[in-house]
Amino acid sequence: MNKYKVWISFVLILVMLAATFTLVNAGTAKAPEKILTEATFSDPRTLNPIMMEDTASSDIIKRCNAALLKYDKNINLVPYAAESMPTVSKDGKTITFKLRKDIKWHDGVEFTSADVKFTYDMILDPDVMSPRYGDFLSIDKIETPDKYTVVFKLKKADSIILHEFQNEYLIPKHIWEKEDKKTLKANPKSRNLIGIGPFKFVEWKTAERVVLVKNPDFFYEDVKLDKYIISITPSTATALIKLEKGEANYVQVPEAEVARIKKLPGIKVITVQAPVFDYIGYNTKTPFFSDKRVRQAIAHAVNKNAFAKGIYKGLATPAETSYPPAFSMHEKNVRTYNYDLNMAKKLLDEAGWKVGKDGIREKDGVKFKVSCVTNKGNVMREKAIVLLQSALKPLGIAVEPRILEWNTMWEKYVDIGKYEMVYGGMTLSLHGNQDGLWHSDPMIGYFNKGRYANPKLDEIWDLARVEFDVKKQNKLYSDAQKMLADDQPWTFTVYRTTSFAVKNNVYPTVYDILEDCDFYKWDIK
Amino acid sequence: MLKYIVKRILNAIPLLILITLIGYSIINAAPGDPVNMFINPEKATKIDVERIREAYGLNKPVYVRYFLWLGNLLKGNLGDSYFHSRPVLDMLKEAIPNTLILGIASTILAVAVAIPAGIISAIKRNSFWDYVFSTISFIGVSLPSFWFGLMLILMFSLKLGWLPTSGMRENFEQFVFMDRLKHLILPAIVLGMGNMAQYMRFMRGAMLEVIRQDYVRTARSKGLSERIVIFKHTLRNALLPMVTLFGFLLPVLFGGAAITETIFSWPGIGRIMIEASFTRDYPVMMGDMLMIGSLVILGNLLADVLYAVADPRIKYD
Repeated sequence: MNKYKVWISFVLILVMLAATFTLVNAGTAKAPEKILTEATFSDPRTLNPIMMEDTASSDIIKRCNAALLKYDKNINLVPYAAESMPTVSKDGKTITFKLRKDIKWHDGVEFTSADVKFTYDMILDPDVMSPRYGDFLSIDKIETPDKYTVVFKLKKADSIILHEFQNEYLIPKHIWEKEDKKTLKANPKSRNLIGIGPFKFVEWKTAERVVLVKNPDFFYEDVKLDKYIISITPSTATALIKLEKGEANYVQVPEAEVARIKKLPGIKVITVQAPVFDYIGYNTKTPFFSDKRVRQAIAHAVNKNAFAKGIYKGLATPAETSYPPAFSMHEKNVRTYNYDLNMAKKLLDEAGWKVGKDGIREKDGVKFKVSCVTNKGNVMREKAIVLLQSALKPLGIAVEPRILEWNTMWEKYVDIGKYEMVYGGMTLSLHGNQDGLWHSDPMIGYFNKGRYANPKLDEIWDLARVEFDVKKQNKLYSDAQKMLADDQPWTFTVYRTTSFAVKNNVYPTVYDILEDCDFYKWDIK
Repeated sequence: MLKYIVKRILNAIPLLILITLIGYSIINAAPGDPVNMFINPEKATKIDVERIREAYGLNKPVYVRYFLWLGNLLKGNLGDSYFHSRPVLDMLKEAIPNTLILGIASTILAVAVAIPAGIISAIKRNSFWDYVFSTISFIGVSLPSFWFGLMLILMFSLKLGWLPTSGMRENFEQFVFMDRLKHLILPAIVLGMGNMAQYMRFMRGAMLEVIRQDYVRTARSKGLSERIVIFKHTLRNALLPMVTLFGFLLPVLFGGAAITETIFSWPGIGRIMIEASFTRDYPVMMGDMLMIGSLVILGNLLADVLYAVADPRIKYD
C-alpha cells in the first residue's frame, strides 16, 4: 500500500483520538467525598515508624499513627496516646505514663502498654539498627506494671527525652513480634502501615501515589476528611500546575513562586514560620575568624533587612538569635548587629586587619581573601553568598562564592574543616537543646564544624538537659542566646518560612513551626 | 550467522565486566559516603556508623566489595537498594516496563514524522520544505526537554484541559487504555522530539545517498513513474541503514529519559537513576549500569544482525 497513505491515515487516527479525549474529559462527575490531594516531591522510603529518618516517610507515618505526647500550637507538650502528662520522679530518672484506654490499632486490636514497651525495646535493640536509637540512649529499661501503664527507667535524668516521646510513633507488637529483627526495613510489612492515627493506610504505588482514608475510630478527635491522596510529583513546576488545574488541592510552595500563586483565582496561600534559620558559619580555626571582632564586623556589614526583602522575597525575617520568634525560649534582649559599615571597619581595624594598597585588608602578611561555600539546590542561599561578596567588598574583604553539590560540600570542605565561611540553613529540633550546634566536644557538637569553643556555654546545654521545669530551662536557653550573640560563632541572617497553597474550599489548620501537625482538623467544604 | 551471534555474545561478557568495573571505580571515586544516607548525622555516634558499615559490608576494601557484588550477580542477585531496602531487581522490574512503553511510543511518533519528512527533504532537496524540516529538526534537538515539557503541559493540560498534567494513569484499579494513552501522549512527544531530528536527518541522508546510485538512474530511464522509483527502489534501500539506527537507539529506550520522567512524574528508571546518584545508592547504580551496558551491546548486535538480514550483500562468517 502507498506509504504516504499509511502516514496520512495514522495522522487522521491521532486527530480522531484527540477529539475523543475532549469528549471523554467532559463527563467526569465529582464525588461528594472530601478528598485532599497533596502533590509531594518524593516517595516515602519506609512506612515503619522505628526505621524512618526522612521527611517524606515521617509525613505519611504521622498521619496514620500517634505518639505518647504531641505539641499544642504553642509548642508545649500535651498528652496524645497518653491519658495525661507523665509523672517524673524527683531524681528525674523515672518517667511514668498512663495510657488512654480507648485506643485501637487499625486492624481492631487494642492498643496497650505492651505495644509501647515493644516499640522502645526494638528501637534500643542493636540488631534492629533503628535510626531512632540515638534519641533514646538514656533509657535503661521499660516496665509495664499493667495494661495501661508504662514506666521508663532512665540511666540519668533527661528532660529532652519527653520531647522525643512526642516524636516517636508506636508499632503494633502483634504484627512485628515474630519478624526477623535484622531485616525490618526490607520486610514487606514495612511498606504497609497499621497505626492508631487519624488516617488508615490503603495503598502505596511506588513513584505514583499513596492513599490514606479516614479512621472513623480515631481516639483523639473526629476526622473530617474522607480521603488523603499523596500524589508523587518530582518536578515542582508540574506540582504547581497540578494545583492550578485542580488535580491537586494542597501543595507546598517555594518562596520564589509565592507571589505568583497568591494571584491565582480560587487558591489561598498560607505562610508560617519554619523552625529554620539561615546563617553565615565561620571556621574559627582560620587566622581570619579566630578573633570574634572579625565575626562581629561581618555581622554589622550584612544588611539583614535587605537580605530578607530582596533575596527571600519578604518571606523571611531578620534574625539575631538561634531561636525563631515562635519558640517560647526566643530571647529578644541580645546584642544585635545593625547595618553599620563604619562600626564594621572599626572592629576590623581593632582586630589588626589593616587595609592594604590593593584595597584588601591584611595582617601578618596574610591577605583577607576567603571563600564562602554553599550547596547547590537552594536558590536563596546561592544568591545570598553572591550578595555577601559584594557586601564585604567595601570592607576590604575578598569573598569567593563557591556553590557545590551537597555531598561534595559536606565531605570535602565542611566536615573536615577545609573552609573559611559557609552559608547554610539549620533546621532546629523543637525541644530546644542546641548542644549539637555549639558544643565544643566534636562528638556532641556535630554541627559545630567551625570548632567554636565556649566551656560556659557547654555547661548550659548540660544543665538544660536535666532541668524539667520549663521556665528554668528557658532561662538557661536565654543565657545561651546572649552568649552566642556576643561571640557570633555564626551570624544568623534570617528566619525562614514555609508556604502552603490550597484550593479555596480547603480549610487547613497550620501553625508556626509545627506546620500541619494537627492534620485531623483539616476540612473541605 | 549463528556462529557470529554466539561469538559476539561471548565477547560481550568480558566487555560487560569491564564496563561495570569502570563504572564502579567512578562511583566510588566520587565524594559521598552512602553511610550518611542511613544515619541522622545529628544523632549518630561513631558506634552507629561502624555498625551500619558492617551490616552493609561498607567496611570492606573497595575491590573486595566489587567481587562480592560480581559473585552475587552470578547468582542472579543484584543486591538491595541502600535507600529503599528493596531488592534492586524488584525496583528495576517495576520501572522498566514503564520506561519501555514511553520509549516505544516516542520512537513510533518520532519515526512517523521523521520518515516522511526525511523523504520529502531528500526528494525536494534545498526546497522550501527541506529548509522547513531542517529547521524543525534543529529546533527539536536544541529545545531543552524540561522547558518543552512544561510548555506542553501548560498548553494542553492547563489552558485547553485536554490532557492530564502528569503521571502514568488515573485509574489504579484497572487498566483503562484511554486513560493510559492520555497520559502517554505529552511525554512521548517531548521524548521523541530529539530523536525525531536524528531520524529525519539520517533518513534524508540515506535517501540522497541512494538516489544518486546508478540503479535508480536506470529505473528512471526505464520510464518508471517517479512514485515507483522513489517508493519501491529508493526508499527500501534507504531504510536499511535506518534499521541499524534503531538498534543503536535501543539503549535510549531503557536509558531512561530522566528529565522527561521527572517533569511528567513518570515512574520509570530514569527517575530511579537520578535518585540513586544523589543518594549514593551504589547497588542501584551498579544494577542500572549493568542494564544499560547490556542494552548497548545488545543494541549494537541487533543492529548488525538486522543489517545482515535485510541486506543480502552483507555476510558474516
